[in-house]
Amino acid sequence: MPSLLFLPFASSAEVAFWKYVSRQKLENIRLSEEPLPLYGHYTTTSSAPSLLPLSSSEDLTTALSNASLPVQPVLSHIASGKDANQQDTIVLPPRFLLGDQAFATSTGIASGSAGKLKIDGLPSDAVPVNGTFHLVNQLDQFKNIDKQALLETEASKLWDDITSGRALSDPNLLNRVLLLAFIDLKKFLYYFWFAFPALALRFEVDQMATPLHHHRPRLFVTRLLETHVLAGMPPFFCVRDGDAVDSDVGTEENVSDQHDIRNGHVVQLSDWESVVDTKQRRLTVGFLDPSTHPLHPGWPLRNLLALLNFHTRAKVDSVDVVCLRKSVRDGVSSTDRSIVFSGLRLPAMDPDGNMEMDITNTAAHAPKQTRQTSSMITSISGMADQESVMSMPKIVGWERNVKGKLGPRVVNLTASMDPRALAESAV
Amino acid sequence: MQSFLHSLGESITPVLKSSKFKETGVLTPEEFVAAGDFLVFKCPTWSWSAGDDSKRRPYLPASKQFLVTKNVPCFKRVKSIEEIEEDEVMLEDGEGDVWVDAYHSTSSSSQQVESELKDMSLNDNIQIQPIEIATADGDSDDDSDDVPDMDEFEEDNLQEDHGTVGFKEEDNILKTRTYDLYMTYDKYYQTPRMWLYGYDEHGRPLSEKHMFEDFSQDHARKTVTMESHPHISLTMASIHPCKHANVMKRIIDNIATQGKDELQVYLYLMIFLKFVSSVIPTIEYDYTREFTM
Repeated sequence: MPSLLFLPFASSAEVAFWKYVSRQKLENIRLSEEPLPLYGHYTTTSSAPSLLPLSSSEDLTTALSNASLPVQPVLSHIASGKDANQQDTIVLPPRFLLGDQAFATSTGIASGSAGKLKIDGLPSDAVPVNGTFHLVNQLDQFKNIDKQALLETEASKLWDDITSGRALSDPNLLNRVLLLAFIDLKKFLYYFWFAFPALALRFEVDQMATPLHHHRPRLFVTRLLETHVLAGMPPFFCVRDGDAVDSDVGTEENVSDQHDIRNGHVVQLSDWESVVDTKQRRLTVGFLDPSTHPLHPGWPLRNLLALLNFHTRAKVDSVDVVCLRKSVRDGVSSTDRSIVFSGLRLPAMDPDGNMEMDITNTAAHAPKQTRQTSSMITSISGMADQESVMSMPKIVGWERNVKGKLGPRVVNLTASMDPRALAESAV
Repeated sequence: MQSFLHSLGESITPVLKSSKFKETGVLTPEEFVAAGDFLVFKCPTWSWSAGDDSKRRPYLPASKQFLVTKNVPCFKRVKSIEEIEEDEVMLEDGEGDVWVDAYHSTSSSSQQVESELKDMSLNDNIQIQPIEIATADGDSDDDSDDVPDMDEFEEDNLQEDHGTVGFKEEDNILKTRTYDLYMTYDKYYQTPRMWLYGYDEHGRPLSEKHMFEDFSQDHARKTVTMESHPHISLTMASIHPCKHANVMKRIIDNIATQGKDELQVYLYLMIFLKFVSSVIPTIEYDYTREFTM
């Protein structure tokens, strides 16, 4: 069974950001190595490059979904196939952006409510990401610091937000970033390494992604978009879908009408129970997807699925995921790149009752024991000596470098920063 | 020096009060804001920025000092498309100078690129390389000496991740240059002014030389110069605004003679961006293409 693969962020720190950091380093930070709060963003409102015609990439994906699994080989198969337009599958990497407002907005953004954050100079649907900035004083430190430990420290905040349920009411907490940097102010060299902490659970997919417009009626999509805006454009949300309201409406005459009217409605993540399809133990969720790949979702989905796995297992076996992608071209916005994953199974129990994930046995039994309890969190935190109960899954997230290896990057900003270089070019 | 004189000139030029855009192609600050609002509404990849407080211009609203769109892809170098000569429109600016509006009268540059790609895919043997990725040539000449080798920094004791799509060739993830674009209001010339800052395929700032590969060769070094951004303390490429009003006037007249509805001032930036695209034909920023010039 193939597992779900995610498209990682490609980080992009503006020169204005480094310029700001340099000034801060001299004036305020000085020799302090205290972690600093950091704020970046990603967006789904990419201006879709016209190199990648939307319509044909849809057709392509349809063609793909008829082909056999698994995902990875299929892609390379297309690349050499002659029927498919190979260039149609070329996508741009999802960008994570860090601008000069990375510190400035700290008051405006710190623990804002779901999706209501507005940052100066950003597109209206930019999704803010908060995190931690570690600026070290020596190159050796930068090189030798325990990167895995650093990542786990940041991820433990994420895990805490998940297990406490805070991330259900404030989904922005699911996105985190970590930046480790060393700056050589004399040589204008900036060493840096980004990490996007993700809880690495393994999710199996029966079907490959299908375009949202093929998989759901037009009306569903329209309502989804409308109600998503009404809900304050949260980055993660639930969607009323299909027979989700089956048990509620009972034998009323206008059952089918009711279904149609309410399908596609977005509800906040914290209200997930109201949209669970109780018969099939199925839940439909959605998220603003920075990926534009016809098959692979973006990085933020990992932590959403981890959250669902922790909180919804008592009532949900499989999840449908709407990867909502908005693109704008020629002043016309489109959601044609959006895709849906159907029947994504939360990591299953094997016969021994262990979940197929990298956590301890005790942890695996926890959801079973608490299945009847509506508030799993209280019961877990109430249990004495059960710190290890739902121990944190494996953590990944350090960004790969140019060569695809796990390693930092360096930029030389002499041309933009050095007064001498500036004087030369300012003739 | 030039920019000093310009800022001096800007400081003594009075703020334009009454609308003159139909007569001379210039804008008042209010019209700039109105046109900017419309652009942001129509093309949400653009947004207003307040910029640095200390550099605020009093004649513009505090929260609407300049327009910005970031991370705009730029797939190929101008040189590679300038060899294809067709479909050019000459735009006279009224002083005998001629702007070449390449590829924009009927089809956009990107559509052309697209059709080129289509042609290539007819040939079964061609692998995915329709897009010129300028890593090799870019790295060889200047970067190698002043950037330390990072190989020794790589780590192999970090957690293995089996859930990531690798950025390999077969994943078809395309790395491109990207640009941050800014539009400021130039009080001296009473027109919008375009600023560009580019990054290479790996997010490193582009050198001046490399940036100039993305400007139409007719304009590079003549109308495009490196100058200090009025709101952000960075030296960037800028399209010099001295001819903007004349060209805009020309376009406005053209549209008028085509007997279409009278041009409203809030469309100014849309048209301006379209005109700018003749200078930077390969940068894929968003603007509506509903006007023919």
